[in-house]
Amino acid sequence: MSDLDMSQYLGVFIDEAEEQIQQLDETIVQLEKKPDDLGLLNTIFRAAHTLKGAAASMGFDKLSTLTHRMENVLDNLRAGKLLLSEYIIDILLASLDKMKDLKENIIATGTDQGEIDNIVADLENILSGSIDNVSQPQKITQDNLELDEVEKNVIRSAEVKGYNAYEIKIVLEPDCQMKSARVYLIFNNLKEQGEVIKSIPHTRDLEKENFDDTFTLVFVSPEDIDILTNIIKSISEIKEVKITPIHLEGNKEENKEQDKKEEAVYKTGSEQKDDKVKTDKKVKGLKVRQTVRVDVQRLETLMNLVGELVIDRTRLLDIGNGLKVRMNTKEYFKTLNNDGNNIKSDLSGNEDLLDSLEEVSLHIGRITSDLQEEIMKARMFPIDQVFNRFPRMVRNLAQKAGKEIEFNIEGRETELDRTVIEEIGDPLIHLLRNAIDHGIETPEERLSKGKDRKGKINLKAYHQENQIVITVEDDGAGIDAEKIKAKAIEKGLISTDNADRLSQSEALNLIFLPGFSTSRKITDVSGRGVGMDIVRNHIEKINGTIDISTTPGKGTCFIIKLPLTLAINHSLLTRVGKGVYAFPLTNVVEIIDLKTIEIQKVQGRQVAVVRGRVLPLVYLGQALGVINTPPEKENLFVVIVGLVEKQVGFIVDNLIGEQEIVIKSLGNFIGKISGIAGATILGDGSVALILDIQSLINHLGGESGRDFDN
Amino acid sequence: MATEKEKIAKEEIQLVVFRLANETYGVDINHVQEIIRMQDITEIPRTPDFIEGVINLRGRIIPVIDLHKRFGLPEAETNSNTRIMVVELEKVTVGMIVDSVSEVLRMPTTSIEPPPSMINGIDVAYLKGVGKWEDNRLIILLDLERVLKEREQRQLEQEVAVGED
Repeated sequence: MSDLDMSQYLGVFIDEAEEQIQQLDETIVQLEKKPDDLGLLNTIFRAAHTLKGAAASMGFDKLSTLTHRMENVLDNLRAGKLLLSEYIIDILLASLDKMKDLKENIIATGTDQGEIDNIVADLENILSGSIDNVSQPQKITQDNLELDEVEKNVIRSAEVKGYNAYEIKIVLEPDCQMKSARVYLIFNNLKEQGEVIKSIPHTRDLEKENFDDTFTLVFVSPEDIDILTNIIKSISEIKEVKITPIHLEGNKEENKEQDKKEEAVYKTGSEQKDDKVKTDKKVKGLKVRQTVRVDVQRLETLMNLVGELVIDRTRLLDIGNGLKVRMNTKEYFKTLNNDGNNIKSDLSGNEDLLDSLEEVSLHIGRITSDLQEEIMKARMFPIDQVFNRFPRMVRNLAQKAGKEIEFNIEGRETELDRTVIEEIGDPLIHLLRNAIDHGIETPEERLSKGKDRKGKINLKAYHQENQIVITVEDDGAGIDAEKIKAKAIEKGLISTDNADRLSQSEALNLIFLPGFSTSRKITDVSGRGVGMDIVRNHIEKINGTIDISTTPGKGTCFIIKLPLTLAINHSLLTRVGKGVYAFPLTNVVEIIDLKTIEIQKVQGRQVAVVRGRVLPLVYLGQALGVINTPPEKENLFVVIVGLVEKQVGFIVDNLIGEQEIVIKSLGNFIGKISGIAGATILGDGSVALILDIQSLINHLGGESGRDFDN
Repeated sequence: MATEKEKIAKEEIQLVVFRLANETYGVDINHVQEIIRMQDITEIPRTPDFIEGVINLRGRIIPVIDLHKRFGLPEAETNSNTRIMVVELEKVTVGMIVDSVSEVLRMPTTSIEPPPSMINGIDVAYLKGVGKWEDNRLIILLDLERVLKEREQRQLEQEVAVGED
């Protein structure tokens, strides 16, 4: 078969492989819970078998060898020749990881390059029964430079920003006197260039000088290797610095393998890796096209709708022609001037045209909204695509944390827009991580509190009105509002006075403040995810909200509410000066009419009392820095927006109305502007700007004190 | 034959020639997507003053920059000759306001010289060179990459600064 033929099927193969791998991922974890479920085992076997067949027919030998061995193990399990053990599950999962890597390599390079000997040997050992199941250490946590999901995600999002991820290996002088001080200096200098996301050994050990002369960091930064090397070398008593870029998709496996080897070998290995990265980049040109599977029925519906549009187009042309004939006929004008009767009959003709025009435009209106809905549905994916990797992750994390957890998922079939799906993964990972690390207590602790030995984490997704709600609930220790306050005071985020005035829910919301989480500090780089402020930022970026409810001792529940789609937005259009600005309706609490005399000044700041609540007021033009003084008017339109606990009233010149708008980005050249989420094109072809309420309010607070913060 | 053509292509460059503050400028035609008349521009808050705003170009949102302001030249009034030249460079599409667009020229690369240190107040960093046209006209060749990229560079720096807060 020629290359051309193969590439034609590559997209289909990747889709299929992804599907099967996902299924394997899920079912293998389930199998651990229900080792006797023969049906489950059969499903796994079938998935592996399908994958093997597909890989073989595409000529991906390594992938098919691997799946073949896996299939053999599964077959023996099915036949009862092998007994399922945790070790076998671990190896199966490890094989699955290897499959994913091979698949990524296929996407990146078109070939299934990668090393599979070790894992194939492990599988064969299981088959021959020569393994001592208990003594075998866990493969998953063993490797040196194993990056977990969260760290990988940090690297990926950094890559999106154009940052690079590096592995930095630093060797101190053997006679270095204060190793921890050197480490501190290195961290401190690096901090200005980017972010350290992992350290081996753990920073705790680094601080206690609990290491030899060598340590390794994972670092993301926009700078290149030379600059970073210089920064580190500027510190004295450093013997050697070796920086190598981390390339996530490509050849992670090789890195792992090399890391295991001796240091001397490691050096040459990393150089090889450099070369590899370069070749990878070259091959990237042949990237596999992204495909979406769409229900045929859906396509049929779309086709029908388009068909109706085409008919409407013909009718419009007819009406246009009719009008043209009327306007252009000289006789028409003559009769119009001379004969009253004719005028009447001609006018009635006009009415006919008008009627059909109205009819057509109504019809087009209906068709386009149907089309919009259908296309949106075609972009929708079941949230299972995000959820299905969680059971595996929770299992691993729980194992590492020494906790016992029962993880339940509900509402896998809930559909969400593609764009939302892509964004929601990270925040959920953080929340689950937090629940496992901090929420759920250790089995002993739980028993002493009279709870079940196993902690429960429930992940739920469901529709509510025009929103999707996702909840992450645990039955762990809960969050103590008083402790949160104390910590916030200790960190200098709020004053003691302010803290006393906070309500329970306001106090809980403190955890979303930037700088609240300790995770960014060097003492805790690898532990805790990236902090709740990032979680909230992620969610608000996709126009969602997050709330907490918690009962100390009983558990915590995070409630995330998301819009169905990001591409189309219900907005309130307003006018300020010459510009049209759109408030996303999700943020608008209400619109009020306010008399100028009702505005009061408190500490030089405009406020109004609305139903007993003091509402800060800002002229939108001023908030955006476009127009500084509002026009003198007796009555003002105020759009009240709400964000979590804050409410702010924005004064606008005029209200235009509510409209569905299609969100467009401002593009790379202009980039991100605080206060503006994007632009949209209005019916008349002009451009209106969509407001980003969160950053608008933040900007307000930043510029003019912190009055709006509480 | 093919080599002949290649040879010519190598030795010649096609320029779109435009006027800006009484000087003649040129950019490589390969980067020019289209030239449109001046239209209403939607102002974007909190952008550098040379970014005039955005326009709707057949459903696409395109940023528009004023080259006068970009280069610190005296501002010109908009008249019937004013044009927006839409250029595309490495997936970034930007409209540039120029006083007028006059013609397309084929210029031999041999008649292009490196720019003198300062032309008409424009920093030489934004220029690729100066071309001498047959009738002794001087055509200043813009380095679009610099004109457009530097903005991105700054953007990136800002983001880093924000990230460190």
